[in-house]
Amino acid sequence: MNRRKMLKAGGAAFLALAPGVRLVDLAVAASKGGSTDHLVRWGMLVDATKCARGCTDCVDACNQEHGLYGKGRAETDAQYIRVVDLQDKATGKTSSLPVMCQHCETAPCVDVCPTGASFRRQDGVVLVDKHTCIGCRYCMLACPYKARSFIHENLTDQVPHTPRGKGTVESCNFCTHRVDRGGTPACVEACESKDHRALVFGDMNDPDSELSRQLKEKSTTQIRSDLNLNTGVRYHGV
Amino acid sequence: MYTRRQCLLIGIGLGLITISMASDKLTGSHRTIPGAVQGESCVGPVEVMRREHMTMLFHQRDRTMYAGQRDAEHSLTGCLSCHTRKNVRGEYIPVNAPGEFCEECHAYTALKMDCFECHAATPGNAVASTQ
Ligand code: HEC
Ligand code: HEC
Ligand code: HEC
Repeated sequence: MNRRKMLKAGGAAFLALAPGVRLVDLAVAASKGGSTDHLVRWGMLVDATKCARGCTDCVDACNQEHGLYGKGRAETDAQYIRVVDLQDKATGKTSSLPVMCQHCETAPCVDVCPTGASFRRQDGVVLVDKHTCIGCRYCMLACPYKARSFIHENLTDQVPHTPRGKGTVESCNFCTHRVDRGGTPACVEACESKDHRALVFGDMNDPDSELSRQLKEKSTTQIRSDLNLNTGVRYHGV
Repeated sequence: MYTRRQCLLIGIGLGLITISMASDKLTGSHRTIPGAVQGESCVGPVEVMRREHMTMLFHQRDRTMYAGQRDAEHSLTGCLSCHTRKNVRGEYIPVNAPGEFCEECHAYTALKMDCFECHAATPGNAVASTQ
C-alpha cells in the first residue's frame, strides 16, 4: 500500500463516520462522466386499485430476473418484492399491493450502516455494495418496510447481472442493470405486458415523465408517511 | 573433509540447479494457461494484464456500483465473455474451475478469491432462461 492509497483509505474511514455526508460525496466524486445523473430521481407509482388479489406477476418477474429461488422457508428466503394484503378494519375494504425497497431520500438503512455499504446513488436508488457489506444486518432492523433479505447459505447458479452471496444483505435495486442502459425494471415490464398497468416507473424530477404526470393527477401516499422518509415508491388507492 | 576443489564443484553444481529451477518458475513453461476463446487481443497488453488485471477489476467495480457505468471494457462479465471455454457438449465451463483461465494462474500463486461466490463464473446462465 503506498502513501496515496493510505490517504484514500484513511479518508474513506473518516468519511464513513458521518454516513449521510460520505455517501453523497462518494457518489458525486465517482460520477464524473458516469451515467447516473443527480438531476434524475428514479421513482415508482403503484396503483393498488389495479392490483388483483392473488396476482404475483411482478414478484415472479423479479425472482426470475435476479435468479432468486427460495428454499421453502418464508422467514429467511430472499425476496425483493412482497405482496401485502390489507384490510381496513372499519370499512372492511381490502387491498393488495407489492412492497419493495421504497428508495427513501433519507434512508434509515444508509444512516445505520457501519461500513458505508448501504448507500444512495445520486439518482435516488438505494443499494447495498455487497463488496463492503459485512452482513451485520443493522439495515434490516432499521428498515421500516422489511425490504431487505440476508443470505444465510452458499448460493449457486446466480445470474451474471445479479451477483449474490452468503453473508451479505440485499434488496430491490430498481434493476439498475436495466435502468442504467435505458430500460425499465423487470416488475414494471411484466405488469405492463400482462396489461395490468399497476406499476409506473420513471423520473420523479422530470415534469414531463409519465410518472410525474400520474403523480400530479392521482392522490398518492407514502407508506409510513409519518416517518418523513420521502420515499421513491408512492401508492395510489391504499 | 572436502577439498577446496570439491567444494567449488559442489557450489557450481548447486548454483546451476537453482538457476534451472528458477528459470522454470519464471517462464512458467510447465503451466499452460488456456487461451482466450474470443477476440484477437485482450483489453490491454498481455504484460499489463498479467500484473494489473485486479486493479482494473476493482476500479470497474466501484465505477459500476456507485456511478452506474456499465461499459464492458473492464467489466468482470466482459472478461468472462472472452475467457470462458466450452466443453465438448457446448456448455460453458466455469472460469474458476480447476485448469480454467482464472483458476490456473491463481492456483499457481496460491490466491484464494471470493469473487465467484457471488458472481456467475460463466457468461450465460441456465437459471435466467428457466422458470
Ligand atoms: C457478496 C457478493 C459479491 C462478491 C463476493 C463480489 N461481488 Fe462484485 N458485485 C456484486 C454485486 C451485487 C455487484 C453489482 C452488480 C450490478 O449492479 O450489476 C457487483 C459488481 C461488480 C463489478 C461491476 C459489474 C461487472 O460485471 O463488471 C465488478 C467489476 C465486480 N463486482 C468485481 C468483483 C471482484 C473483482 C470481486 C472479488 C474480489 C467481487 N466483485 C466479489 C457482488 C459481489
Ligand atoms: C475481447 C476479448 C477479451 C476480453 C474482453 C478480455 N480478454 Fe484477456 N485476453 C484476451 C486474449 C485474446 C488474450 C491473449 C492475448 C495474447 O496472447 O496476445 C488475453 C490475455 C489475458 C491475460 C494474459 C494471459 C497470459 O497468457 O498470461 C490475462 C491475465 C487476461 N487476459 C485477463 C483478462 C481480464 C481480467 C479481463 C477482464 C477485465 C480480460 N482479460 C478481458 C481476450 C480478452
Ligand atoms: C497470468 C496469470 C493470471 C490469470 C490468467 C488471472 N490472474 Fe488474477 N491474479 C494473478 C496474480 C499473480 C494475482 C495477484 C496475487 C497477489 O497479489 O498476491 C491475481 C490477483 C487477482 C485478483 C485480486 C485478488 C485479491 O483479493 O486481491 C483478482 C480479483 C483477480 N486476480 C481476478 C482474476 C480474474 C477474474 C481472472 C480471469 C478472468 C484472472 N484473475 C486471471 C494472476 C492471474
